[in-house]
Amino acid sequence: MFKTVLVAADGSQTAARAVSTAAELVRVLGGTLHVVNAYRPDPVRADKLPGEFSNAPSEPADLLLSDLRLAIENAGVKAEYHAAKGDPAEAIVRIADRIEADLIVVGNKGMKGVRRVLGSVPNSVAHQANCSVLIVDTVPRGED
Amino acid sequence: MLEQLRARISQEGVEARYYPAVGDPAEAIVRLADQVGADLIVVGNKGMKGVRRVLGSVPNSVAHHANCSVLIVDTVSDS
Repeated sequence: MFKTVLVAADGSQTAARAVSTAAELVRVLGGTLHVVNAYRPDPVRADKLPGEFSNAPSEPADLLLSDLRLAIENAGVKAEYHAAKGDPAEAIVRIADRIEADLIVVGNKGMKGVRRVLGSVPNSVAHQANCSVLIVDTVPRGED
Repeated sequence: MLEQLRARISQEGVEARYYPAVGDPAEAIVRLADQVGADLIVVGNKGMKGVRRVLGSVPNSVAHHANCSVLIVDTVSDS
């Protein structure tokens, strides 16, 4: 059914939940998991770093991504990794087209105040994707 | 149409329950999903208008309002 599954990771905890769902799907269905690192570095934050941190090897997002890689390998899932530059949603759809993905998995993200809202990246992906899209509820029950 | 679906589902050996929905489809889907404690809602992406693909209003609305995961199945590409 879904043999080429692309999941968008941006180093956030919510994306981590989307990745584990995607990995589980691929483990059950077979096929290959493609992980797109689609986070946008925050240039403002980077500029504010004191000089001694300017060569810091890893941002928190990178650390999370290497945790994810480990978790995916431990699940015994075949995975490929892609770096994405620019607008995350556009990059995700572009890479999905290139690898002819059957399914894109994204986290729903975002709660703003009391109302749940669909994040702009999953919204954009849902509108622009040329394949099926699974929007994973990454807001744990009880937190909403 | 629904009878065909019912036959197909039963051929697959899948246990299914059926619910009539009255009123706005997206609202009814989300309400029912809440009621049954659904983990996942599956909807088709529907609609192409002219040359540009567009996401149908029901899947769009479901994606925005669902309290669980949503699978938007590409029902355009395979046809």
